[in-house]
Amino acid sequence: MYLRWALRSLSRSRAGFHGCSSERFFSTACCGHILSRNPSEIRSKVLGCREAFLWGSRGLHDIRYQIHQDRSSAAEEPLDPFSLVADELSILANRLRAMVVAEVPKLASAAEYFFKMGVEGKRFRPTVLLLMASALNMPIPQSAADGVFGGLPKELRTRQQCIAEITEMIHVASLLHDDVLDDADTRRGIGSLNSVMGNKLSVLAGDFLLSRACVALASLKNTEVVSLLATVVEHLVTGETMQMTTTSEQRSSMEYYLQKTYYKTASLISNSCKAIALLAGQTAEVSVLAYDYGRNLGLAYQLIDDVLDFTGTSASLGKGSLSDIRHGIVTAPILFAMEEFPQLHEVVDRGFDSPSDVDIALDYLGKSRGIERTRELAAEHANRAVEAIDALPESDDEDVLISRRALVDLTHRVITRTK
Amino acid sequence: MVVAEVPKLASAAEYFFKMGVEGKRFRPTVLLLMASALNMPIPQSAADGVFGGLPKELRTRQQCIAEITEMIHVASLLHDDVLDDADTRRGIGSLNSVMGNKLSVLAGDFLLSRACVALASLKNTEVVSLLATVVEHLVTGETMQMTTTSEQRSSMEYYLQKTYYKTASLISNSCKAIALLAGQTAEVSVLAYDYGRNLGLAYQLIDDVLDFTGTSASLGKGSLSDIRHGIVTAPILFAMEEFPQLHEVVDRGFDSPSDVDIALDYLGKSRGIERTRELAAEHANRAVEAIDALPESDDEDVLISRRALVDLTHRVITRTK
Repeated sequence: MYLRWALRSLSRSRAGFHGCSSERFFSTACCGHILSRNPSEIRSKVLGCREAFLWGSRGLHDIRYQIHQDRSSAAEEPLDPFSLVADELSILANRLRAMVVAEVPKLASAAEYFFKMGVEGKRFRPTVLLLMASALNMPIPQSAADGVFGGLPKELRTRQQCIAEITEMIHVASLLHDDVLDDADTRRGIGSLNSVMGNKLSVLAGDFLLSRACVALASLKNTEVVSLLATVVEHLVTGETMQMTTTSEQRSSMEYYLQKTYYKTASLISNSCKAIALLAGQTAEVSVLAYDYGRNLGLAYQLIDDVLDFTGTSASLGKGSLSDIRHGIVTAPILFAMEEFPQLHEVVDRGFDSPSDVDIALDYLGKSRGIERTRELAAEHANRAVEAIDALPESDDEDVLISRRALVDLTHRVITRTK
Repeated sequence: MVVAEVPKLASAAEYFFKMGVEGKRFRPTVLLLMASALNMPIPQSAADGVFGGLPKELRTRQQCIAEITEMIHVASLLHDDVLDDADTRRGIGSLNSVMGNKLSVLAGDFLLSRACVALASLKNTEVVSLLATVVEHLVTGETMQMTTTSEQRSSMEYYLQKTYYKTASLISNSCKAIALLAGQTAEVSVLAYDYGRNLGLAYQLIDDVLDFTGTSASLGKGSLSDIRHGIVTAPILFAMEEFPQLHEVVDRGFDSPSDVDIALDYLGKSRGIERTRELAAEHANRAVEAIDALPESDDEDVLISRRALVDLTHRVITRTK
């Protein structure tokens, strides 16, 4: 428990320094009043992001020191991957806010939405990326010319944190654009000015975040990383398009579904894991292992997500049960059920506009092994993710080992979560 | 470069090419001429972006900038269309109208993502940065236009800033990118930037004038469309300096046609049109100065391209449509 206590006391003291809790930070977001709010914020804006990080990195060093002091108890206690990086995530969130400050107030409001989303999602992606960065913190056999800044660990960490920030910006940009599609659906026929401003502003805000992500990417001066994350953007678009425009044959294909899922969900995390490795100057083999971890974790996550959409309750999911099928989106459990019950094809082809068709499908699903097989597939991917971590080059650094255990732990959490 | 796996996206790409033909491909023309105009031996090789001096490879990369610029431009147009769709189809909830919005957003994203990948392939992070900033500017400019307060609408400074973001940033920063890819010095890159910036501003100012003075036939988009959409442009802003009472009319918005007439009346009495033309000419001159300030060359192609760039500034000023 000492580890968690140490982290909490550190973040409490930092909150004291700031003069308000981090929750208030998020909610007061960008109304253009940041500069008047708080002297430490002024400092980080004036001095720029690097200085803000250095201040934060001293905090990180403290954590490491405390970890070393308490090695034995750290190894025994149950591992919470999220709290391992919670402090760093706060730093990231602050930097992110500074990065998306917009001249125009309305764009700033969209940025506020962005942070609410970040808080809601437990910042899963940045957690994975920061843990991956720690897990790969080993002396490298050969220095890659590109991307390694004379081995200064602090600079490398900053750059890797930047990947996490960029990843969040790309992710939220895609959500904002997806919301436009949903807005169009749910507000069809309701043409208030607010909804119009909402659509266009969502599109613009998404573009804005994307452009900021590109600028941040460019600042890393690593063209392979730029290429990787640019490809992610393309994949997100392709995945969304695949989902919108499936033919009936494609809708019934597990292969198509997994490809789409890779594009929409796993590509972002797999390629950003790889980028983390590249920035650390790791070998191609290690970079591929990082990629494999991300890819399998992402796929496992989505498959369980599919299951929970059928088995979860509205309260726990937040988005309501059966939302996929009601939107006509055919996911893994149904696809598996269709293999056992070919007559389900006909129902699927009809679309799911009719609630009775939904009931029929659910009936077949219940009779089939669809849910179980999806869980099995998810577990398979989770195992592959663990294998990727196990295949990483050995290290006896305590932080490295803790981070790797945390990454393994994450795969278990992804599989066993109920919401 | 924009071939899409999915047929519907391909239709959006077709729109893209129609737009390119309609617009006389002005931007790519400028960029290719700039590339030729800067085709000089460079004093020192920049490590980044110069491929061992192979002219063909450099040219390909510069052409890529032109392509990327067009993709960014059209992506922004497609996203701007989302607003128009929402406005005009308010209350009509057909699947087609929904698909229209969706497809516009997706197609714009698709083009942006292809532009990103193409940008990345140039392996020049400064260029990535420049063109990413352009996207940011386009968004900022569009948002500025959408969310002006009444005070901002009456401000020439705000208007010129917005115009820079919406129109001139793309061409100025891509001119600069052309120069950077050629391994030119910072000074030359700034000159390229200045040319693009002033050309873009001159273009937009004349565009503003023509919206009042042009005919429907020649403009294609109809006369007075800015003011009818409540967009206050340079001629009106100048007129407001001479006739403060015009402020009140502007503040009312231009929903009422009689307000439009009142404004036009003041505009006619004022020197608004003339002063806008003068400002445009000023920017055109600065563009010419930027070209004249380029390092000397005796290469015939270089000289021809530079003359062409100067000629473009004249065409921008004197066009009637």
